[in-house]
Amino acid sequence: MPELFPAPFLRRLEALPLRLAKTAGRAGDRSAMASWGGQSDEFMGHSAYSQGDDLRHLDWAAYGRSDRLLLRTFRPGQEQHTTITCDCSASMRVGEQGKLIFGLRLAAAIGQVALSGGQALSLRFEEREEALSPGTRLPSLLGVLNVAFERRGIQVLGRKVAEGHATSGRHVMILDGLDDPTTLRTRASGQSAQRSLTLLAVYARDEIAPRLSGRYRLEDSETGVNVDLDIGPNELASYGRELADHMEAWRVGAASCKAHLMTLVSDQDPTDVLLSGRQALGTLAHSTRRRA
Amino acid sequence: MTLSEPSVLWALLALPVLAALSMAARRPRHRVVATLRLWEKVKTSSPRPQRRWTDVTILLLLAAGGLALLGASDPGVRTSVEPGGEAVPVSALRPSPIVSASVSGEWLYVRLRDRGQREFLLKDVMNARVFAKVIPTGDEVLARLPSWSDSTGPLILETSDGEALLGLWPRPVVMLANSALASNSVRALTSALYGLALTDVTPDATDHSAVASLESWRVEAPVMVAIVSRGQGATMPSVVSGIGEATVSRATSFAAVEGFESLLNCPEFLAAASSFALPVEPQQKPLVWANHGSERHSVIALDPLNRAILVAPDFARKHANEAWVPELIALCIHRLTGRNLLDPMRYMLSKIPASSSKPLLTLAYASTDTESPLAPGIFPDGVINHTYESTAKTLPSFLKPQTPMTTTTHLDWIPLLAAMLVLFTLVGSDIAKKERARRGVASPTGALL
Repeated sequence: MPELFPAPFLRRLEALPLRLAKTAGRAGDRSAMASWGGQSDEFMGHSAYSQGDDLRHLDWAAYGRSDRLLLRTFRPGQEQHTTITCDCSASMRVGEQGKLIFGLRLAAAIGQVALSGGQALSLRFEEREEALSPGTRLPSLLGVLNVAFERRGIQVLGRKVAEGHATSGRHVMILDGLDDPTTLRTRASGQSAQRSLTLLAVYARDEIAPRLSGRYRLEDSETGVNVDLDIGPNELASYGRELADHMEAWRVGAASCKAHLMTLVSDQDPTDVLLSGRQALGTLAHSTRRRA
Repeated sequence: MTLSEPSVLWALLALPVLAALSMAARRPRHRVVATLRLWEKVKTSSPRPQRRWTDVTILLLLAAGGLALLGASDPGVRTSVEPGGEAVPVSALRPSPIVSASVSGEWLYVRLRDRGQREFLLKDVMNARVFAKVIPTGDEVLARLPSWSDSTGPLILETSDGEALLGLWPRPVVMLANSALASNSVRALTSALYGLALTDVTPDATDHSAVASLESWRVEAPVMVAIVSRGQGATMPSVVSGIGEATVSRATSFAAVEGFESLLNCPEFLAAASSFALPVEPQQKPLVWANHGSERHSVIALDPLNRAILVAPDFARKHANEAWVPELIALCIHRLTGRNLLDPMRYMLSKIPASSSKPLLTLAYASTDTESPLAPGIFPDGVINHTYESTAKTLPSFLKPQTPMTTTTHLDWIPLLAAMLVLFTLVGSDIAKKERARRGVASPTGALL
């Protein structure tokens, strides 16, 4: 089993908030960073600088005019609490580079950005909820996720956790893309109207484009049921059509839950997903802003 | 049927392999997937029947298996040796149709697959202690017959394990024991050659077809029939009676003796042999005996017909590495023919492994016709002095066949055909797989990601 948080990934993870800020600044769009950093982009006023304040918030133009160090303050956003739910069921563990690893790394990336942005973070377990206060350091976050990863066979971060405890903020659900889309409403039930819901549907690459040919005995990872199938070009074409219908059903299901849906493939780099601007995080942020 | 027969071994090997291939092709590969939801829909919507038997791969594999079974049913393979039986039929001896059609430069393809029969024959040779016979030690013997019109070509027999036998046309004395063997091979060989047919007839043998078939031989030269009995002489009259007067009268001369040793002392035989004398000087054709040390053996001799150099197998094996043996043989040949064949003699004797328990397969050679050139172009003088590598598995260049062997029977093609079918199946399957991969299935989410 591959290591959950290898050193190269950790380096990218530690640098993610800064890279995200740079990306947002370069794009002239603070919405992405703001949506994860705990502040909205609505300017509220200035406050006097005191030692220890973040120099990035200094208003140099005001300094030039008044010769005083002033900090720009923004209106506090409503999404100051991020909840991450990751499906840790057997279907997420299929394959050598399972979708679970991708999901937990993605959770680490989102959590890192949220925590460094001053948000509170909840990682939901089936039996309990692990709450991390703003400013919690990265090792603590990774420790929680490692526990989820090591407890194989146990649904640590349950899928039945959509019933929100928090009444505001953001709820990100990392789910198996092949799950039954008809269960989305059930999962999203109890979701507070004030909370934004984002569904990240994770697929493995060979689930998108199976490279199968010949006779196979396919076993369901969760039920253990077997199906014998001769797979040829016709079957692959049929699978493609079924998958397209399945994804459309997910889109409809997400819309019915008033949730934003993103489709991800597990061989992507989670930090790149967040850095890819409008395609990933930007879209996510815009969605949450519209909902807000 | 013995397990050592090549076709049986092939079948034993091929069938499990074919079965394993078939099972491997039919056995589904196991794959754990996140969910069966989509695949179950694929299965219900797939128009293709989910049965592997419709796959052409299986059909071809079955065809190959059938061919393998057919190959195993080759009667040449199934021939068995009766315990203690003498009149063992030759399992497969198939004179080339081309040979029978008298086309020059072609091959006679002789296959002696039955190890038991071979050992039986070799035992006779050892008992005789005089005759080194043209008997295969390998599973197959290739005999290259010269052109019908080329009366001076060589007769080359090469066993499958690389031992070479040499005779010179048209004077090879083909000595074959065992009646059934003679009935086939002598018919194939002697019908074209000047003939000496030695037929081993045992007291209880009922198959006298070898000698009896003399009537149907296309013999254009004097033929001597020598019946060598290894049993009680009391039965000889009945044997002679069984052969028939017609056969006896067809033969130029006739002799019946007990044991091969007796043949050399048989006055009738020697008299008949002398009648075959070709125009050589009398002093050059005495029976030659070789002495070695204090022992006196009939180890190297000219046969009574003055047409063959005979080397006792055990002697040749014992002294094969001694230089004087090939020299002595070559001397004999030289005295008879005026030709220096020392190097070919060395080559042939060098084919005997030091540790071999098999008797020497030596040549039956003679050509007293010194008036005619010996195989011009085949034995040029420059080649005679060539030194041949003793461990060579192949014939020296001047002995190599000019044309590849092309004669075979339809059953001989079955293993090859089966193997080709399997090969084509595998290749075809691979091509189809690549074709599927090439055509591929467009990712339904390609636009989404």
